[in-house]
Amino acid sequence: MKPTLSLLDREQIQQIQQAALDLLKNVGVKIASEPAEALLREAGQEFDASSGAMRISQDLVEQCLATVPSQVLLAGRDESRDVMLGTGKVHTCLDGQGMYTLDPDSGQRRPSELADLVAATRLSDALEGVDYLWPNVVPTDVPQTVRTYVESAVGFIHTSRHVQHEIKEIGEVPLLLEMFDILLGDRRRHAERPIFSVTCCPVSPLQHEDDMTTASLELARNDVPVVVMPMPLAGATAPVTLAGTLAMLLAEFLSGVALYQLARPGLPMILGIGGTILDMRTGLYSAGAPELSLLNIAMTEIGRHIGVPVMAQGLVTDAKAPGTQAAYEKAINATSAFMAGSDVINGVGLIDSSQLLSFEQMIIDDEMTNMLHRVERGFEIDPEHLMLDLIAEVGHGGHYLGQRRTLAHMKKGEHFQPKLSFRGAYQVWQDSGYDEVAAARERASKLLKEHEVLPLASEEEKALEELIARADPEARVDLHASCFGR
Amino acid sequence: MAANDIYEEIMQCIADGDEDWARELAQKGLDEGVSPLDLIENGFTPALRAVGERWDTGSIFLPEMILSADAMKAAVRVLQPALQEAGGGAHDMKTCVVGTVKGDIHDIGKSIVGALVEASGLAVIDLGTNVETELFVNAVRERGSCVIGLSALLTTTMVEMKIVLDELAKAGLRNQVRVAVGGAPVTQAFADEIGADGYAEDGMSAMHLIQELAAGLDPAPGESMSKVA
Ligand code: B12
Repeated sequence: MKPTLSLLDREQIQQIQQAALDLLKNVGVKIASEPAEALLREAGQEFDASSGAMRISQDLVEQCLATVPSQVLLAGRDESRDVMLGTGKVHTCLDGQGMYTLDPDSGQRRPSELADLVAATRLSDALEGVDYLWPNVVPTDVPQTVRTYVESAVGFIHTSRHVQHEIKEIGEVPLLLEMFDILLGDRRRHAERPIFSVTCCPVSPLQHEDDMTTASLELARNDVPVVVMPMPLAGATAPVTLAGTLAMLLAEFLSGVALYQLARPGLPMILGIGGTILDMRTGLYSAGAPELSLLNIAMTEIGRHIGVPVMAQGLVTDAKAPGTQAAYEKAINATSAFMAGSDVINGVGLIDSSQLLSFEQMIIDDEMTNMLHRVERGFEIDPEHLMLDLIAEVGHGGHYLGQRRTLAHMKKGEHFQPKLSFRGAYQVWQDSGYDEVAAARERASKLLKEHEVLPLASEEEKALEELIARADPEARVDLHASCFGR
Repeated sequence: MAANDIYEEIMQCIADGDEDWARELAQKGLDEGVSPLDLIENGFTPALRAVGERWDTGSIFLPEMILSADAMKAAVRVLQPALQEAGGGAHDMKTCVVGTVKGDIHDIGKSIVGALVEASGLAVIDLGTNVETELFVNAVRERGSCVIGLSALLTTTMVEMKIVLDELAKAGLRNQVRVAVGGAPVTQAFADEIGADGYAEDGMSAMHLIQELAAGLDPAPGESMSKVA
């Protein structure tokens, strides 16, 4: 049993797929990364001198798609927390790289710091509804010379789950690989235990930039799974129509498939669905738009059709504070992606179009995710669950509260237990002054005090610290700072 | 044909965002002996301002605004030679140089601001994305007094804005320019901290801000088209 939501029939999926292939063949993609462009040239693809784009043939795309695995392992430091994508199960992760934090003490927005990233990472580790990390804020107080290493190290230290992150340029690759040596004993083990994956975004319309693409290709050669996440904005960097935006998103992704599969055939890849609309009244990016849901559902179906796991932006919103707008936008976008069966839904904890971290929102998103997992799980239908014997026994009138089997099934989780929602009586609610955002803040604070993260071996942690010091001897970073209760 | 009629037509054609018609009307005005400055000041500028007001109040969509802006640009291009003949140099079309700072390839916000500013009657030089600091400095050297609009969307690249300001100061050009900053992560506080002259959070307020800053460039603002946000 599985709730499903579907938008496209087979013919429509093929229509969009063919449109994407035609775009690649006729218009092509412009590639600023030389090593990336070289891969396509060597594969016999045609350079269009008039536009400066590489045209990619349908044959090459099909050949490359054939080597993409349909299941992707995202390994954790703790093996029991490994995630396998492409099995039909929905997973949730944080969202990449906001730059502000709603300070848990003052309630004011301020630039995000290392202490926020540490706290958010530890909190995420405690949440049932999170399956892996994407460092969700930038530590703006950490020098740029070491930021990528610090962000990754925080991930490796403060959660035992998988870490997905970004890389800025090829110069960062050697030390990142050294981190794998530290954590896995040998970087070559990353092929079987990929504890790190990298996100890289094409630049709509139809381009790949230089630095991050070149660096991600190098990581791909070292068995780092790659999330290719195009972010076309309908009406601005993509056609205003959702069909046109989908075709472009898919074309950009498929050009990424060609690049990364040529660099490392068989590389595990994820289709990141980053598309949405530009709001035509403000001229700004919109994360809360219902069109985002449509793009997510359709692209999830297309991903399934071409055999590649997808990551949808689901728990996303334009709201500036945790509250009503954040709740309904996130709920609509996450629910539709859940029902469509997206392999990963990202967004936990960020608001304001993925720019602002709210610890309260992390708790609220966790609650939503857990409710959705309950819906996803469905229910069983067999004699034990139909309970006809019990119905006959209780008969007409009376109740089931005193039945052992009621209790037994409650214990097995037939009914979801909220951690945040208030289900009490009106008067109790009124007298207690219950406020779910305040309750979420308290819960975050409590979890941070009580939760223990599976510790990283102290010599490994020391080695990570030394590596950061080597990258920049001037940089002073406290990998254990926390913004709570300062 | 009376000038008033042509102004009415201009009003309609800018509202429609019809580039071809705008070029035709500009030419027709010149042929009928209306001065190019009059055509701009009493025709195209009020027409575009009317469109801008409708966007401000949320009654039209951004593409309508951009199409109107493009139509105005097309007309100004037709009028430009006559303007130059009529009165010194490139008229006093003020210039705005826009670009996304070094290390940052976010394009669309900067481009929207550029298009709206151009529509408001300034000459716009778009240096693109990932722009080396030096290029901003060179642009000021070449153009002289102007507004610079810096865009950054990454926390890692916001600092480049400060570097541009520092380099302008080092080159002795800081007082010839007004610097506006913007992009999703940028705030008024950050703008103040680095000593920028202004900050705006979306396209329309960016356009108003830059108009204002441009007006301030001129010791005698005279026929300023600026409308305060
Ligand atoms: C689309 C997008 C992209 C696209 C850009 C495509 C393109 N052609 O431009 C792509 C996919 C390439 C991209 C890449 C990356 N991005 Co990006 N991106 C975005 C996103 C989703 C929307 C930006 C956008 O286009 N908005 C629409 C425009 C119209 O709005 P705007 O730029 O803010 O501009 C308006 C105003 O700010 C103002 N304005 C803008 N400029 C100026 C200038 C002046 C002078 C004035 C007065 C006003 C003004 O007016 C504009 C019009 O209304 C934002 C999220 C967000 N909420 O903003 C992330 C975001 C900015 N990106 C982010 C990141 C992390 C990245 C990457 C590092 C991701 C990666 N690993 O690939 C790379 C960086 C590449 C680089 N070196 O620059 C982060 C930044 C966080 C941070 N740490 O700083 C954000 C916030 C998302 C997130 N939370 O992760 N990105």
